[in-house]
Amino acid sequence: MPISDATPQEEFSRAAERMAVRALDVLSALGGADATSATAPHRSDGPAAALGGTRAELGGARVLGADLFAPYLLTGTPLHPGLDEARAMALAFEQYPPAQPQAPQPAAAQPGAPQPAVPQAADRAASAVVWRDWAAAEVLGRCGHRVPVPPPDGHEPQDGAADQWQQWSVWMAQLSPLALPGLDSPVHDSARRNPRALGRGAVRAMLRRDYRTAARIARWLSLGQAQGVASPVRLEPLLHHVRLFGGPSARTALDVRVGERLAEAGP
Amino acid sequence: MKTGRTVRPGSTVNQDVLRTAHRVGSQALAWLAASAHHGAMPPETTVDFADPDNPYKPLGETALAASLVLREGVGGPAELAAARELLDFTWSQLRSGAFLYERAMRHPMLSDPLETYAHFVRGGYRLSTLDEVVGHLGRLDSIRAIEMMPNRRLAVANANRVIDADYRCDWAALAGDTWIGSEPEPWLIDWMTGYNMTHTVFHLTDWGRLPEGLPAGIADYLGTWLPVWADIWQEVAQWDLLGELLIVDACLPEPVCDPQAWESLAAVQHPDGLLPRDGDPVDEDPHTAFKENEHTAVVAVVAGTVTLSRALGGAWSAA
Amino acid sequence: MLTQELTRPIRSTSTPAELSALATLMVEEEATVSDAPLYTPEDAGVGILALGLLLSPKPPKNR
Repeated sequence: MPISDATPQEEFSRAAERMAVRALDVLSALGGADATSATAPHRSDGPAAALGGTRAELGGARVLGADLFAPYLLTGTPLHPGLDEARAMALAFEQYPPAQPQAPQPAAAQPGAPQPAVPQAADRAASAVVWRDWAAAEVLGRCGHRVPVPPPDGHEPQDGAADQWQQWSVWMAQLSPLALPGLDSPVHDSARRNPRALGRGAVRAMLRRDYRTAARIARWLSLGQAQGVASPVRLEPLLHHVRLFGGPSARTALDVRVGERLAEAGP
Repeated sequence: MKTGRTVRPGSTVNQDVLRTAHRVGSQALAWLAASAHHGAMPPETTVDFADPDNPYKPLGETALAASLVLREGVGGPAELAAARELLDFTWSQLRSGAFLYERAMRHPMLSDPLETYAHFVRGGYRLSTLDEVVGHLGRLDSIRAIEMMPNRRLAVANANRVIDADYRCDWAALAGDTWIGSEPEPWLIDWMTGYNMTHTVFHLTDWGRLPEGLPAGIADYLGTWLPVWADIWQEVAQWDLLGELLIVDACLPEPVCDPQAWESLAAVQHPDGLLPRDGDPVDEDPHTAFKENEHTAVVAVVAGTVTLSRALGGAWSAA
Repeated sequence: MLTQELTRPIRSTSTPAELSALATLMVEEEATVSDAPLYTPEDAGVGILALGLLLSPKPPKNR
């Protein structure tokens, strides 16, 4: 029974924001100046222990996906089944399981017509969900909780066409939770192969004043830089700019923080 | 000072783009030729004006476009004839240069007579009294030390170079003083800075004649970021600025902008060749429409001409 | 929709509206409207191929 008149989307969005605030706090706690405290897991008896106690929070966890564990992956803090985040995410997958896999729909075949090189919008969205679920399940698996997700077969990144950098970079923005150390996949390969397209995508988003998208794309550049792939655009001033100009969203702040941490790491 | 034309490798030439660029440019030229009378200088115009919306800016711009069409020689006979007619018309509007001479005499510290004169010199027109005055003024310290925007300083330098083949200056230093010369964060650029950047490239290369005039660092930088600027301004229908970015594209070692950029200009061009400067409705009054969109036609003519010329290795025609 | 009902784990009490909302949020698109920089009157100088005419201080009154 909904308490307010908010739509599910509004409820989940707010919950995702709260999750992002929490993740930022955990990241500060784990990755603070005192590095020795980095092994201490978040206690289950604290005020934040109620993580995942509501449907909204479970939905919020699904939206954040792998980013719920960003503080641990970024600081190298060990994952284990007792983490509040792990329990919450496992419940979230139970409550909101992934949709059954659909193969990408080919356009109606015309004799002699060329195959469309560019995936349709619905296919791109479906691919993004598949990869996000893959990443969340992957990290959750390392916490000792297994959840079934459709395999990402048939959802290989479409980064071939030089004149599609706009579309591809926005798709990569949708996959920003994958841009974390410790994850690797064809999507990560695609990012490493195309720093120029990522740079163009990030700059395009900045100029459109779509700072959220800019931060999400920039994370990939930061990750690449940490892995030895030079970014065509300097990340530190760009991320700082998003931090100041990018509005109040905690999810954007989390994307910025992840990008900054990775950029600091260096190759 | 003839230099070899730097032709782009055949593999980078997109035939569809060339066709579209040619069509957009030649239709814009036709519109300019048909509409030029709207830019006639009222007989009572004096040389004393400081109004940016002045009566002879469109004349100078039209002369620029026409002079480049003739310089590159890639248009058909009708286009070359139209360009020559436009130069004749604009030169006569300026009383065969007498207007520029009088303005230079009355306002010796303003650079516009020099800059305007350069387009006519390029097209083969000279006035000896004006030659003497601009030559003398250009050698004065006071003139050289005038405070101006770096891209304007480049405009003056290029105008001097066009008028006097022996003109020398430190192009690298002038380029270094510009915004683009810093190769700054590409995500912090505004509308005016966009235009300052395009003009920097125009003057360094003498409107695409000398691609090697663009420092390598700037060329590399633009190779990465120009497509982004073209994309964002195309999205908000800034056709005039998009056209200037396409001129810049034609000045690079290799074109980097999406062919879709040219298609977007072709899509908004009117049947009579008018190219709207932006997404706002075009004024129904032809005189107003000319005033408001003449610049964009000039841009389209230059963009089409230089794009074709770089791709085809057009003949270098002596001034 | 019926297929989804049958394959959903028994413990899930999610509604189609919720699942749809999650899918939308997970693939949040870029901003639909661009806020790219446009001309502002504050920009120095109006004529683009302008001929050296800077913004000047307020001119004196005509005598």
